[in-house]
Order: sequence, then C-alpha cells, then structure tokens
Amino acid sequence: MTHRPLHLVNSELVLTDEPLPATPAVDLALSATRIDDRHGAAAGARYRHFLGRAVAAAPAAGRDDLLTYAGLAAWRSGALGFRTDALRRLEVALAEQTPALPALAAALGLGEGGVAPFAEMQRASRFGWPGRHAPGELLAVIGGFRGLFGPWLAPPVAVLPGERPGTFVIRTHAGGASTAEEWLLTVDVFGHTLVLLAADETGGPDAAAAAEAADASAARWAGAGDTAAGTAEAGADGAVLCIHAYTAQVRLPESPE
Amino acid sequence: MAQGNRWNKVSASPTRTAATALGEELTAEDLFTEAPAVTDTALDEKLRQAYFWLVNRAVISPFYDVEFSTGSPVTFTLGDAGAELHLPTDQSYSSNVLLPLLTFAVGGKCLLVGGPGRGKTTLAILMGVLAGSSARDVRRNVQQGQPQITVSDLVGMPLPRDLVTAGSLAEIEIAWRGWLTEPVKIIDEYNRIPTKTQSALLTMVAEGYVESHDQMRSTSPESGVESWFFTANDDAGGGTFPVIQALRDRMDVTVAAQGFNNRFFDELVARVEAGERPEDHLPAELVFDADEQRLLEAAIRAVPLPGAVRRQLEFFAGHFEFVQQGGRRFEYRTKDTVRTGGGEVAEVIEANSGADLQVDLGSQTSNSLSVRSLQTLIRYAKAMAYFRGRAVVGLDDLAAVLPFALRGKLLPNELHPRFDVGADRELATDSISWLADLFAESRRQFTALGLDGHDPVSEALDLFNQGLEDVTSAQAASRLTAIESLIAGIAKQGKLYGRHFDDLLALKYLHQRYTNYVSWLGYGG
Repeated sequence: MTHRPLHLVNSELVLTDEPLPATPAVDLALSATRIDDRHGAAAGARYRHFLGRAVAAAPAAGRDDLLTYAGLAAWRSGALGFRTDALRRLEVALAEQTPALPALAAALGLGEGGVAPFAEMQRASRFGWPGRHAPGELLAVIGGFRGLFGPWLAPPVAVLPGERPGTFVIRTHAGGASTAEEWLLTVDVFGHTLVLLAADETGGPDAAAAAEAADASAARWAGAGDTAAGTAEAGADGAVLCIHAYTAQVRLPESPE
Repeated sequence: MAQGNRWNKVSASPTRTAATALGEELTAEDLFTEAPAVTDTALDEKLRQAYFWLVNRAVISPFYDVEFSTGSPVTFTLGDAGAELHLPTDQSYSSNVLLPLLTFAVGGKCLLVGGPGRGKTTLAILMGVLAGSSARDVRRNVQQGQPQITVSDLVGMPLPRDLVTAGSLAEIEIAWRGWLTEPVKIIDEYNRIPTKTQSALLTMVAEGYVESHDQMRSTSPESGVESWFFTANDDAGGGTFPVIQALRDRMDVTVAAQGFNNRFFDELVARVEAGERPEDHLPAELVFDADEQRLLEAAIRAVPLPGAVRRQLEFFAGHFEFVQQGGRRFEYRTKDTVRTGGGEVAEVIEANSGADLQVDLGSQTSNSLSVRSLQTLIRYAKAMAYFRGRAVVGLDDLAAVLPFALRGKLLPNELHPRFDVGADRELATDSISWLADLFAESRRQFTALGLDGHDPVSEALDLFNQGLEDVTSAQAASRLTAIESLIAGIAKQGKLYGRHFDDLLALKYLHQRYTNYVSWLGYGG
C-alpha cells in the first residue's frame, strides 16, 4: 500500500473554495499567495478555506482581528512557522473575548466549544488536538518515495530525536555510504517541514574539522534505530517517530506521561 | 506586431530558496508584506534574475549541463553506447548562458565557440546591454574579425593634421575608437583576424591598454570592470588565421554554443512573426550600473575558498607538471622542460614504463597548468558560489566551472591509451566531459589516499608556517629527520606520480629552510 504524506487532522477535511473578500485593512489575496508560494498549493487551499470561513463569520473585522484569523489559518493550514505567533494571538483573544469565538473556531476548523480546550492542549504539546489523544495514535505520515511525489530516493533507515521540540533527524540510505542523506523534520499537529541537511562537501574550514565532524556523526548514528521518541515541548515527551517502509510516521507515545 | 510585454517578465525573488527559510519563526504580519525587493545589496539575486531572464526569455536554451544535486540524481542509461541522462535535484544551469554571465560579473574573458547561427554574438551583445549600454551601441561596437582588419581599424588612427604638422610622436593625437572603453567588448570571429592585429589585441586583453604612435589609452571603463567576449566557429586551430597562443591563453573560459532544441519551435515562430530581438527588450531593472558592476566584482572576489577545497585543487593541479623522463635533475623532470627543449611530451610519457598510465592522471595531458589558469579557475569558482548564494566556495562549485576554465589550456595527450582505444575515445574531442572526469578521478584518488584525513606534507608545512621562533636546534633537527623520513617513505613506493612531485619539492624546501635555520643557530650560538 502506498502511504501519502498526511496530517490526520486533515484526513476528513472537505475544502471549500471560500472567496476572500477585498478589505481595506489588509490584502487577503496577497496573504494567500504568500502561503501558496512558500508552502505549496495544498496548504494554500487549506489557508483560503479556513481564512475564508473566519472572515465570513466576522465580516466587519478590523485589521487586528484579520491578522489573528490569518495567523491562525496559516498555522492551521500547515505553515508551522506561524505557530508561536498564532498561539499567542489565540490566548490573547480568549482572554479578552475578542475577536469573537465563532470566527476563531472557523479559522481553526473547530467547533466553538473546542477552541479553549485546544489552546490548553497546545500549551502542553504541539500535537494536542481535541479528540486525538489515544496512546499510540497516528498523527502524521511524512516522507515518501520521490517517484510518488515524496522527497526521498532511498528509504529512511534510522531516526533520532532532534535538539528542539518537535524535531527529528532522519537518515535515508540506499546502500553505499555516499548515498546516505540526513533530513531534519520539524513537525506539529498541523504540518511539517522536511529539509535535507547539506552534506557539505567542504566539510568545514579544514580537513581535520571534516574528519572530526564525520566521527561525531558516526557516533551519533551508532545507537539510532527505526523509532525515536522526541519532545513535544521543552522537557516534555509527546511524540514518537517510526519508520514505515518509505515513510515515517508521527505517533503519540504508547504510554502517555 | 510586438507581442505584448512578454519580454518584461523577470523571475520572482527569491530565485533560490534557502532551505532554512522554511523553519524560521513568522508572524501574521509577514503574510501581508510583499516579497523583499531586489536591493543594491542583493546583487547575487539580481544576477540570478538576469540569468533566468536570459535563458527563459532571451535565448532559447533548454540545456542544463551544469548540474548540481543534493544526494543522488536519478540517472537513466540510454542507448547502447553508455549514454547517461541525469535528472539533477538542485538548481542546475545552462553553461552557454551561465559562463558568459559569470564572465560579465568577474570582468573576465569568454570565448564562445560553435557553428554559425547558434546565438554566440547575440549572447555577447546581451552582456553589453546588461552593462547599461543601448543595444544599438553594443551592436555598433562589435568588432567584426575579417582578414583585412588592421591595427588602426581596431584602435583608431592618428589625426591626419597631426601627421603633417607634428614635430614628434608625442604631438600626434590619436582618434581612439569608442568601443575601447566600453565595459563589455565583443570581438566576433577572432580567428579571422590577421596575426599582427591579434598582437595588438593581445596587449589590450592582457595589459588593459592600447598603444599607437607612442600614445597610450587605458581600456578600463568607468566601473573599472571590463569583460571581453570573443566568438569563433572553431576551437581546434581552424579559421582564416591561426590564433596566437598567448591570445588563446588569455581566454578565461571557453563555452560551446548549444544547438537549437526543435521542441521549442513555437518560440522561434513567435520571434520571426514579431520581428523582435531580445537585446532590445532587456528589462531596465536587470541592468547593472557602474557601481553595481564594481560591487559585484568585489563581492565575488571576497567569497572565501575553504582550506579543504583548496587542498583538493592543489592535489588536482599537482598531477600535471611531472613527467618521469622529462629531464635528469629532479626539478627538471617536467613537461615544460621537454616542450621548451623541443621534445615531444607524448613520446616521453609513452617511454615511461614505470608508472601505471591508467592511474597517472598527469599522463593524460601533454602540458601542465599555468598559474594564470589556476587564478582564473579560483575566480570563476568564487563567482559560481556567489551566483548560487553560497557563503563559501564548495567542491561542487569548483567542479562545475573547472572544465570551462581549463578547456583549451589543459590539452589531452593523444597518444594516451585512453584516447587511442577503448570506451573513452570520444573524450579526445569532448574536452568538457574529459576535464570533468579528470577532476572527478582526482577527487576519488584524494579520498582513496586518505589525504582528507591525514596529509603529512600539509602538516609539515603548517608546522613550519607557525614560525621558527623559540624552535631549538634539537627540535629543528628532529623536524629534519621527519622530513627525510617522509621522502624515504615516498621513495620506498617505487612508482612516482605527478602528485609526488610537488610534495617532494615542498619537502626539499622545508629541509632547506630548517637546514639554514640550524646553521644560523649554530653560528649565533
């Protein structure tokens, strides 16, 4: 069976091509273009869906409110660079009760009752989502064979937790040492980025440094297996990455802390 | 009828995406700001935009022969003669546009070779327009090589009034030709220029000035950065007049103009119907003014060349000077000794039965690399790294420009078995593929010899470069012993290759410096 990259929060999402109204305060169409350019057409379509619904729920919104909807919709569409700003805006909105709950809920694709619990869960873990907390539950499938629109030419063979919350390092390998690649995965409940770590041929300023770096890399990967437990927030466990054929799966831990 | 503004489309920034950009923290405000405009400081981005305009709008060049890949590119073997098609995974480029553009950026000299009608002159004219001249002026300033062209035709002539009245040469005023101080100078069909006129051209190209009737004129433009473009329909010694070797050696890079891909006929038809020339439609925002040309050239020179890359280049260049039976004394066992002494390098190489010709990369060439060629190579490798937005020169940048910088300078030894028989015979005429292969093989040998991890000669040189202050006589003697031991180690291997030549001479140099130092200590103490 071919596994396609997917975040499970989007698995039952039915996208509507919401019209983005022209507003004097901000250029909503421009923001959709930025998401398209930066994160691809699929994220762009989700962004238009969530933002369009939020704006429809609060047609008279001012600039600040529109920025809040846009930030939340961008994060919800999978652009995880917006997470910190969107979460801050969400907490301010909940505390001050403005913008109104229906538009916030629409921007996140939640019912009105789910917004506050979602904010609470996100404070503890970037993988928090109402109704999605069973031990071992699948959160996302990432990667895939390049011939089937994924990023990898060779299957992943080992994973390590990254230094920052929500990050993992994945090694793909096709046999010879020269074909090994390392990829940095940054992931949350809505989206991920997968960046090939440059195997810089220069190896640093001199040959000795390059050799040292190669030794350090070998030592780091020596204990790596096909599963790695990473942190969901600083100091808190919360996600496991395991290799499954040509993909890697992000799951909740089997035994929650 | 002109077809709207189809010429005006400039690639949107950024033309190269930094992988790390996806991981940065963003705010909602960032969604509503336009992509940053190209500023004076983003000259690399402007250079890339110029490249993409040239390949996508100006010249129809769907060739991506300068390949870059992260990881392994997908490769297909095609036909039954070992042809391979690679699908690169990183942004790759068309050499016949990129190398002229890099020449423009560094202020170099580019030779465009290829049959008639392949866009060589058009490309050169586009470089002139990029430098801020009008297309009409650039076209007018193209110097057409032809068998009757004289030095006066090229540089200008003395005023007839002065020729009659002047009491000395110093009083003769020269009416210099206007093209001499253009930032981009174009010499079409340079192999049709008579030998004497070629010599005048050489002074201009090599020294940056022109002389006539005891008068001199600098060819430097306002920016101080001048680039030269030469075209020729033959790079193998053909043409009306043979190109003098010194002038040929001044060509920093040699690029072949590619043939037309007939799958792109629609664009050709559109141009015929519109009656337009690309050089008349260069978007104004892509023009580099004098200050930008100066900044661009300085920024390229400032790109660092890391020690590990330099070492690989040293190792590569070291293969080619030495030839076993080239002389008697060790220092004179070089191809240059044979050549300047009137011998045949190929025959001397063939007479060497001691080394394995398959392994000895130096045996594949009939000459060695000049310092000028190496300087050019470094400059273009820096330009390549700069163009790709890299902070330092990588081995891949060096590998990409090396075949174009050494074409016509590192010459194949046609008696070598590789070119004579077997599967590689086509490399005798495909010098770009041969040079790329030569560098790749050199890199493989470098790795196989473990020189990236442990290089005792480099270590000995580094130790010496730390200075001799406080080095005692006993320590110097110990270093002398270590040097002799390194030389003995090489001697024990029996076979001697080009790569040993520089190492042995460097060790001799160190030995001499320590010997002198020990003598001096003894004298002082």
